Amino acid sequence: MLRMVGLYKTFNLGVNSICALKDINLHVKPKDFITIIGSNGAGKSTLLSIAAGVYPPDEGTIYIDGTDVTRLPEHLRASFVGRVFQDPLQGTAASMTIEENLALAECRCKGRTLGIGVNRKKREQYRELLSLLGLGLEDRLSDPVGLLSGGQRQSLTLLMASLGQPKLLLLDEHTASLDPRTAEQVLELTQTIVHKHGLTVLMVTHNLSHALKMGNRTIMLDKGEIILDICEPERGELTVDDLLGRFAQARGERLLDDRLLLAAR
Amino acid sequence: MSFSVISGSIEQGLVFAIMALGVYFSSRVLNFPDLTVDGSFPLGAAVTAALITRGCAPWLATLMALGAGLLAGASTGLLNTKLRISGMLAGILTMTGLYSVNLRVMGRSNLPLLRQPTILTRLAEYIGSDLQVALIAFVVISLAVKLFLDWFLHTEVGLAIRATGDNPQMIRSQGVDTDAVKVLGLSMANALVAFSGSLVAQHQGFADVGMGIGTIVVGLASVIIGEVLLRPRTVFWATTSVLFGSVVYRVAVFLALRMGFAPTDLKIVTAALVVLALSAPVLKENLALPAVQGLKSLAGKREAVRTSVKDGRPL
Repeated sequence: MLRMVGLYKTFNLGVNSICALKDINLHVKPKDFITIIGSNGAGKSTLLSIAAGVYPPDEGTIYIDGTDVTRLPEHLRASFVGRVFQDPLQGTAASMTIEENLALAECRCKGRTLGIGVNRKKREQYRELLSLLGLGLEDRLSDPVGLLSGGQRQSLTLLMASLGQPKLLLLDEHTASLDPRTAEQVLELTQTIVHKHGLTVLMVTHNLSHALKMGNRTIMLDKGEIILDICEPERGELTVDDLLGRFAQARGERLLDDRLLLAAR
Repeated sequence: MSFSVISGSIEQGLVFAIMALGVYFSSRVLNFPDLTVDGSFPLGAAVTAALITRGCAPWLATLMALGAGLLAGASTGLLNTKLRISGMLAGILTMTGLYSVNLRVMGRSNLPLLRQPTILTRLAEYIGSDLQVALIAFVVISLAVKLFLDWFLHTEVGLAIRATGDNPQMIRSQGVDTDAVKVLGLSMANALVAFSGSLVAQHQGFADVGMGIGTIVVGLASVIIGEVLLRPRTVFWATTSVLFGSVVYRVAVFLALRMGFAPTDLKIVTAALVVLALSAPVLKENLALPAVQGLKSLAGKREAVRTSVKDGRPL
């Protein structure tokens, strides 16, 4: 499904250069749900951005379903990639209404015409879709998204990202800026949506127990390298403490930042 | 005020409202500080005047003005997106270049259209009377442009344009080439501005290379006055408020002239109007709040006195 071969990425070439990715090789099978963990600056977000086409890698190739998409810019890759960002403000257009935002997402796969964006038929579809969220948004179709709470916006973004069943769903710490209760709800929603459409997912998280609980495979990044890659069923026996141990073992040093440790407890 | 005075202001307000709708498009929808306007407005006038004096049909000359504005906007858009020149500077560069273009197009700095056919004289011939022809024409045209924008900004493409102004990163992840959208939006906005310039030239009977100075400020004044007065929440009301703001602006200008300002003072009057409209929220807060708080604290004291009296407690 998604195959990354020998990816390298360096930022700020020169004296202060930061090596974000170093020889990344990753083969994602259809319907894989991979959770990605690692300390700050490990290259998790860079990996997702390169998968989404925000910027190209310095070296290496990316294949989606066997097609080389390495140089395909973000907006052309969007028809088969859905994304949810960490910042709830990032995934939606605040001044536009809920239904208009959904229409924007629906056009991701089918292209844009001079037809009216939101008509009665689509409005009914959107109402139905939104009622699945159980947040009461189905009665607020013409409210600007800016009026919604962070959790509501993130749920909406998730729904938008899953419209048209993208080949790949990228979740970049999409629950990190939500309160714990809302985060759990959004994670549950993630499970539901992923199951329903059988999506292939890469999910970055700082929460180690989420990383083990969600999906079927976990990879750990450090300094731009994959230092741990573990699938089910072996992963089922892993605990958070094992994960921390594995990290120390792989690195031979204790490098975990406070945030990762805190999230683990 | 006699009807002719009011109708004159409305006429002016509506023909300039087409330009203001262009400014609304770039500044509010695309969120792009487009200064091309000061060049594309006289460009529309110059192209129309040059073509009409060479015997071109007025409707075609007007259409060509629209096309010229389209190219001017595209130039700013391409400078910004392809050459990565900041939006503000890209507009200034196009505007500056257009000054020479306009002089070339006209062949001199002022081109009269006296005794030449214009779409207004043609319309008067068609109706068979020249009573209020300009007013009728401008009401119809400005409404048509407004309704066109209302429709366009609700199409799938229009939604993508609005999202580009709102959250470019988000709309890129939804498969939109934001660079292309910017070029398209700026082209359309400046086409409207040039269209307005063309109509103004035909209405006033000449094109002048200096007629564009301060156009952007007039456009912004109209947009902002409309926003302050009508507080629009939807596209439909936003475009309505631009028309309204443009007419209000013309009435304000008329009143300023009546108060004894010379026509040469109009630019600073306009600038002052924009400052006033922009600072309205801040001024309101600073001026009104102390008064409101004063009243509230007074009410609080009175309440305290009342309860203490009721309870028989000393203050």
